Amino acid sequence: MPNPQDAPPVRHLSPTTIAAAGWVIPGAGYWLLGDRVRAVVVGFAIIFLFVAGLLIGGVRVLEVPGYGTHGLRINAILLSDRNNPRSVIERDGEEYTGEDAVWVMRAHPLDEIRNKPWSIAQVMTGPLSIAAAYGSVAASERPIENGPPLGAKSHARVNEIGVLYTAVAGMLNLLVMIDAAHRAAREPA
Amino acid sequence: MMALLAWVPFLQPLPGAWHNAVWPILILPLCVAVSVVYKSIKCDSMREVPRQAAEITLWILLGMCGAALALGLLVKGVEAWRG
Repeated sequence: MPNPQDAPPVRHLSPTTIAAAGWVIPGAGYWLLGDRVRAVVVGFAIIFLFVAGLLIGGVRVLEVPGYGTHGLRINAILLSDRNNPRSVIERDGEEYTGEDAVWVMRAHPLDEIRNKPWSIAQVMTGPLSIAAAYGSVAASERPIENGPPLGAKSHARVNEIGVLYTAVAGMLNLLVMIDAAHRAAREPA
Repeated sequence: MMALLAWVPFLQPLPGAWHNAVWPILILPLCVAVSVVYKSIKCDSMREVPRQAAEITLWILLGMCGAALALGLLVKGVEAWRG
């Protein structure tokens, strides 16, 4: 039986630091609290779920706010209304470029994130999801002009299951981050 | 088989996962992962987790089967009622 005195000393970190560590690497919050088995089990389960979602639906199940279906920035542009020349209307799209065009994440970021709500859950998996989102944008680009993109976009059930896996992985990591932070707050300093 | 050989992981969706005989199976890894994480949070000792996670996985699957059965019967009932 292992002697408790042989265990590595546990540093007392703030709940915020524990939660942040849990976002960077799923399960790292428990690891810093000295609960290494829990950290490995939870971290493996979350990363497995996220990677399985990408395998099922392809990396393009991640819809990245600010980027369109061809991996280009979505820009907002103000156009004058033909029927009413005094008013202007806004249009968003990858095709709008030029000096007047503003990246939609600068023009109205909350509306753009609201258009892709699953991205909120997916980003909770941490830098892994950000790297995968970068891969999603890269896979959406067309190597040849007007040709097919590098990565295929999944549809129907395959897409739904891929999105579900990646979003549930993010939500579970949020749950784990909250629990690890709560345990850190309970520990005596 | 050829579709599986031609599959490029991550760049293309899993071939055949859309098939009715395949996609319901994909609930299994999801249930297991959710159960393991949930029970890892709830249990004080990690020794209890494997048994409790297996138990809750079974309950989730039974619940899903029950919900599917109930909804299937509801649809059949509505179809019969509407003629």
